[in-house]
Amino acid sequence: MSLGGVNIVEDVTFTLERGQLALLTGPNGAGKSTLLRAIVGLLPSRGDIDLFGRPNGGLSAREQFVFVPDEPALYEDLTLREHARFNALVYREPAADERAIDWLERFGLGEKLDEFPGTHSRGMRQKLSLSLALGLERPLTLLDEPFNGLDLGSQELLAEALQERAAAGGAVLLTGHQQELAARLNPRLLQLEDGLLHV
Amino acid sequence: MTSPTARNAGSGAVPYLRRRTVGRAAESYRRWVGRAVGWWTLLYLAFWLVVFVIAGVETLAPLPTFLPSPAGVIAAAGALVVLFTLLGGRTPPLTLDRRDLYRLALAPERPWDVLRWRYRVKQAGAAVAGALLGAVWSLLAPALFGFDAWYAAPALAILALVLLDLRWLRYAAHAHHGPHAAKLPANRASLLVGGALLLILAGLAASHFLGVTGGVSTELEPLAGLTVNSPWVLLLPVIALFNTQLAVVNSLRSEWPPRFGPQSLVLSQLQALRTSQMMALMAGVSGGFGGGMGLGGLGDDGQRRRLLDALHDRPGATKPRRSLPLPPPHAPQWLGLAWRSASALYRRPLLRLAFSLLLAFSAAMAVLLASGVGPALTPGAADADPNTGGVLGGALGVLLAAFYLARVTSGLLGPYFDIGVRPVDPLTRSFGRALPAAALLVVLLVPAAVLLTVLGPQGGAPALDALLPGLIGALSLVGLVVLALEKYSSWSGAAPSRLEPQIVAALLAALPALLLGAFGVGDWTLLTQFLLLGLVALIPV
Repeated sequence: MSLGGVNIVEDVTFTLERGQLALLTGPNGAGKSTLLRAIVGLLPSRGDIDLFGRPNGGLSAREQFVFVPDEPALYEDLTLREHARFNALVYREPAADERAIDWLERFGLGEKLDEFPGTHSRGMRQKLSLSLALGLERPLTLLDEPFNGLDLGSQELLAEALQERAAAGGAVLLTGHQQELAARLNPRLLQLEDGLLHV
Repeated sequence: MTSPTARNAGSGAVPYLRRRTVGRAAESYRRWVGRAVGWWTLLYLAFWLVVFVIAGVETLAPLPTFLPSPAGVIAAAGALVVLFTLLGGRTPPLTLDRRDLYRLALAPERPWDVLRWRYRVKQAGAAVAGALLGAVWSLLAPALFGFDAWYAAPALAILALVLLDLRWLRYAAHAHHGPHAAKLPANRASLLVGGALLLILAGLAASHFLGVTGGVSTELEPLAGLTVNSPWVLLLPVIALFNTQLAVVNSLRSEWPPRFGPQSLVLSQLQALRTSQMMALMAGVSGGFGGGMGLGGLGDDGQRRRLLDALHDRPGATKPRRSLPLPPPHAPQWLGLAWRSASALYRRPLLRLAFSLLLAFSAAMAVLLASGVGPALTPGAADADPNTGGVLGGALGVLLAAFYLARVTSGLLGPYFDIGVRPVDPLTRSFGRALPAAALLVVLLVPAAVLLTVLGPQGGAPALDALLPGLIGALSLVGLVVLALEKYSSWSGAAPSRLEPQIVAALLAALPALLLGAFGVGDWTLLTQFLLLGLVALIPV
């Protein structure tokens, strides 16, 4: 993968199995987010990226995952409740609506379901972004720096949720560089350094 | 875990989203226009616009001798438009914003379902623009050319839609998406329709110019709507549109063009940049660099260029094209600021850098012309008529040259530097920031003076004995304009690229010539300019 003619990540080969929770770590600028974006098809790359046997970028590959970007991407003119409904519609998972609402309540946003996210803090917006993803039951969950901006309680909640998701047979890939994450999640570590991946 | 399966039918999510967001956005827009402009004001303006248009149409009288048939020119222009459309396609004609990109484009929705609403909006804009152009043509054609063309509006509206489709198809099959792009159906469709249009139009243009057809048009030419008054002129555009629309939908059945995501992200940032600048301008606050709005340099030209580099995946996005040597760590503050401004100039793409230098050279010439022949600076010139001195003679010439210099300087000052809580003295800031622009202009005065001298008296250039005072005068003007522009823009928050600080700087620089010339003491102008320069340099803003 290259940006502006500069190689960001190269010679990356790894397989993530169902039921695995992997933490992609590395120093700032190592290319963690770039790699994640390439996996979901947001950045063009050379080589093959398959999601459960389907080449990334295509419609059938997009059926397989849910992605949480590092900066929440929300509609300022949809309420939290409407986000949940919309998300369920997009992914054609009617039950995801209620599950997302449930996650919002667990994250302490139950009183704010009918508010717009525009006035909410970074952490609250991150909770909405995560709730939408956690409400979905996709084989692969990709999260870019998901713990950023969360209070301690919410961090614990998210860690448990991700572990449960992996235990239920889903594959989870997240980025982060916090040391404590490794201890908390007991993940498979993928170390990205100088554009090379150490599995 | 559920096992999601691919479905072809729309999920209803996009209509759900649009029903809410578009309605709310429209309501916000309605309230905003109502408060900011007023609907009655708009209605009043629209009424008078209609009245003026009707009055204008009624006054249109046929020419005594009609102009020759425009068919050849129209075909040539059409061929050029299609050619440029086929050669383009590096960037998408429409994009998704960040939210749609993450929430919809990455979701298992068909790309066409996601893009359809924006595509239709874009189509509506293109069709309205085409129809308006065609309507104007329909009104003018009888008076200018002596024929009716009442189908021009629908014909141009349809052709505008075809062009939009072609732009998308060229983008979807552009080579930067990879070697497979050339084999995509989008490529075939665009080449088929676009190539056919191009060949027909080019052939028609050639035959018209060679006089083969004698200016007679047929109803089935692509642009016949502009010259023939028959509903059949719509047939070919409709067939082309049918084909391109099918191809567009087909190109968005399953996958997005690989670079659409990153390019959308960059283009939406550029759009946000333009919007914030426009809003700042409308609000009457800092329009250029957003200092007054805390926009953190959103309007910085460098930021825009970096985004454009990112859009085209050029090296300038991630690392500078070229760099000046860093000042030593213990260098004075002004040198750091001067380095910052000079770097911004030096790191421009080569063509832009060359253009900036050319503009600076022309500004140096203008200032010299004003200084060499004007009564403000030429010894004894005060006795002459102050407004008829020479190429740029008189106080008015000084004012015009100073204004042009201010316009050119606005592109040389480098990024805005907000002192804020930093321990920087305003004098240091203005000196450091203005130094590269002033130094460049002063250096360019020398070759400009040589060129003017070589051109000699035929061009009205200064004679050799007038060169030295002219140069000195030009020096003081350069210093005055550059410093005044930097200080006023930093003090007022108005970007140097706006007219207001440029006019202030030009007026200030030309003040001695204007006033002293008017009072008949033009000999004192040069001295007064230097005194004013010193004063401006010492004002702590």
